[in-house]
Amino acid sequence: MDISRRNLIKSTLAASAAAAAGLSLGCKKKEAAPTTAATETPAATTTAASASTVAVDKWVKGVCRMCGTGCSIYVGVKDGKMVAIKGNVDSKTNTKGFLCIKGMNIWKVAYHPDRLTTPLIRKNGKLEPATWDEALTLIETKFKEFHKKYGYDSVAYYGSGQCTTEESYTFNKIWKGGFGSNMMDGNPRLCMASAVAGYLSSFGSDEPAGAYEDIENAKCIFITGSNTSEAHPILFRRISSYKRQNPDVKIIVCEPRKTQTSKIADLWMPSLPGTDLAIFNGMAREIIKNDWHDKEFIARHARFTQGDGTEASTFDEYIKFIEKYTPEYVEKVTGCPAASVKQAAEWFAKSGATLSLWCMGLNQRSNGVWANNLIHNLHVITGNIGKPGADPFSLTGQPNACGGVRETGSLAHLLPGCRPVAVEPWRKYVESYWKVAEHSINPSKAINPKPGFPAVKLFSSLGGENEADKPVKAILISTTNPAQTLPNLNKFVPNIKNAFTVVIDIFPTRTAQLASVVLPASFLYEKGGVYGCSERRSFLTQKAIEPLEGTKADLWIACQIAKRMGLEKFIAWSNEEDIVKMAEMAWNDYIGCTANTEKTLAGATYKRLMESTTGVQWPCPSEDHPGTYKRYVRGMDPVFDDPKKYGYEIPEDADMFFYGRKDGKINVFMRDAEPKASEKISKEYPFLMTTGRVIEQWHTGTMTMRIPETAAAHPNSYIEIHVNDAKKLGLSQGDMVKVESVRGENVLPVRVVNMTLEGVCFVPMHDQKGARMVNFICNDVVDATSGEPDYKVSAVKITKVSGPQKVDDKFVVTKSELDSPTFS
Amino acid sequence: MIIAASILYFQEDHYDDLIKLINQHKNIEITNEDKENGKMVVTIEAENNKDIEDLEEIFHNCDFIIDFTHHAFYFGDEVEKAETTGIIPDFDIKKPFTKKKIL
Repeated sequence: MDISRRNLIKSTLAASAAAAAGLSLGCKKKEAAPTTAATETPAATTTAASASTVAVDKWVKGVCRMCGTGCSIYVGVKDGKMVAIKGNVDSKTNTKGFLCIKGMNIWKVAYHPDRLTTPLIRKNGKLEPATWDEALTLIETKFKEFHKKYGYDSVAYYGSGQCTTEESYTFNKIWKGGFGSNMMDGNPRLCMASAVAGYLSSFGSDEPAGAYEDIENAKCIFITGSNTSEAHPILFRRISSYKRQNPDVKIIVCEPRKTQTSKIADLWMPSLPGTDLAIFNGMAREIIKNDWHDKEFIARHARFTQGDGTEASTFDEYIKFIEKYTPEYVEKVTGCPAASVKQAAEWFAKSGATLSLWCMGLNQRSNGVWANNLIHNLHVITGNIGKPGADPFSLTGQPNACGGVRETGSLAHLLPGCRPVAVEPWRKYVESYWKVAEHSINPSKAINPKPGFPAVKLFSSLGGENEADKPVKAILISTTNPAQTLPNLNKFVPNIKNAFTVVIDIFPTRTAQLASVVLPASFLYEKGGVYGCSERRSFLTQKAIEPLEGTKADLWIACQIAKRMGLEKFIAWSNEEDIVKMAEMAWNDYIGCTANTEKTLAGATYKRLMESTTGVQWPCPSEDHPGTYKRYVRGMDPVFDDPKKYGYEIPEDADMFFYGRKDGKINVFMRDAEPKASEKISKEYPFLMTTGRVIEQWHTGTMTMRIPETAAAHPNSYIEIHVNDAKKLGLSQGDMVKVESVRGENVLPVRVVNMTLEGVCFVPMHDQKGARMVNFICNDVVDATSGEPDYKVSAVKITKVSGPQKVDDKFVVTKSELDSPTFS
Repeated sequence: MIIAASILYFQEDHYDDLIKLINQHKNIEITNEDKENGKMVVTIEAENNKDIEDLEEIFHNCDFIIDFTHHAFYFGDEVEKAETTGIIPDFDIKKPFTKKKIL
């Protein structure tokens, strides 16, 4: 690159960074520094304009897809190629436009030589190249055959919180409306289902009342079951930056490992995996004992309940129920010092505005819904809801788990608007909106009132035609990798292999290795689409570049399947040629369908989303509505303006009303802390193993393990063991150990640490190497309400295999390995 | 070659120390600064992200650096290399990460 061009590129990027930093006209510049647009002199403006042209032809806005935060970016395009990336200065998520290492490297995914570019059909055990027509014809033939032979529920769909909203909505409409089958679920079942059920059972309506903006308004931030620093790095930067500027703000971190997240904490509350419900009940007890509870808020907004929430109770009964959770008892059960429980309770209750943030540490548990309920309890009894900085806020693990899956109702038990399929009035409305009676290929001409199977049951029920006990014979899997992400993999790998499995993905994966058909997909920036992040904000990624030759957008694939299955008129956008117009039509259909729900994005037209640099938060009922920062508060939440439209009743004098439940109150549950279904340690399996993310890797590493920098930073899985446990087992740094549960085993290098509790070990989840795929060990027991598996608590034994060995690191499934799924 | 535009947040009374530190790295240029409020925009030329991460570590280890954040990246030349060679540009394999790798 010649020097003048290089300098011009630097000027372009620097101008953008200066805007992000809020550096303006008055800033001093070093004499030697090159001219930038930030000076805004006429000459500088001209220079910046030229620089911009040299660097990129256009900047196209979008969302980073490498975690659940929903960071807003611009992709720089030159000669039809992605050549630059920058943060969106206007962003409400990654404020100031900051980016993390995964986001910066996203281009390496787009241009990676491992990208799948040809449909593949398995013939005589080998995946062989095929045309799109051959692949789609085979899918059509098989789906029709199974529908006829085994019924409509024999063909399933399994989606992802990384599909766009338009894609998830289209697949949902095809399956539930077109096929009359609810046999569809998605990977958010593995990560967010307990949060959904928690919000629904406590509030009667899914998703948080608040937003990321609450971070900078909070006086106390309670982070539990979340290693935010690694799983949501940009949000963590936001929190740590706020803490730095406001040292009086209290940060409490409650989790089994003392991770990077706890480095900014005023208080770390350790808890043995699966036991933190005792901490939450203990904090509630301390709050009430010390008279720190908000009596007025409780009187107005709390409904005390017993059992599953249907049986009303009283505040006095609640006090009796939590009485046993003394700080000393909590310490005994959880390992968290009694003094810490008292301190946390005081800060939580007395700060003036407490924000709770949690993620998979609470959700991926056999008592995940209950854990969610108990966090909501703490907010209700302290009145920490409905005011700036106060909210129980669940962080999602994927960029479009909320918008694409929860809000479009693309789970086995839901319909668009996140309302249950079993609820007749809503089902009838959706049937009518979709004109199911006119278009469905199912003779019932109706949406099935019976929910389909949640993920674990779905994959348990999947199998070959010769397996009479497996009613699901075919599955279409989009943008996810269940042959690596499901727990207790030994149980599910054969099922995926034996069924007629279609995989849509951009890279070879463990699931693709088992597939009957593999369809090469376009990358997000090659197609565009809407993502909705944790804070109810939908943001449009615009198509930036043409799809890699041979690949197709998932939406196009959905439409081809619809057409071939006789649903051409039902999916009106299936005849559209242009992928952007196709997506716009799907989006319009979706926002029309949900316009009369509190999830309404009716005001977020495609035109508005294309023009917006911030996205739109629901409820947003009209184009002139700004979107909603706080739900349930009159003057902020538009549902209060016309509650009947949304099927609710709100008293005219109510300033705050939790309309999801008829009485407008939030359920306060009496949930016992004993994790009945979680695995317990035993003499044979004396360690509790928990799993999670690391900052450089995303999910199963199909993308991040192909980025040299992130792969090198975390090239393989390992097991973290407390130094005292290592001593007892005679283990040193790097020794190889066998980690076994009753379900399966891994062989892993040891990392000796002092940041976990004794008896607790941790294994990251991203490694594709069969012997290091931790989900062979994990438990497939699920939360009875949400159906979410318990990845966080597995009893294991650890045995030394050898001293340090060279590990086959940076492992990815390559195209040449698609036919040899050895999983070793 | 990649080019990054990054923002340094520093303690205002350590401006001279920051300049000394920056001057030790030829690949860093100051483009804008707000000395009074402890903010500075720099551009970095680097062979790869590893180089940038190494710099990040050096800066983060200085007490007077409050934050070092990246805002924009240009990687056009790398895309061209990847397209013509079919190889995703890597850093020098003889200098692997040591920070987190355990074997």
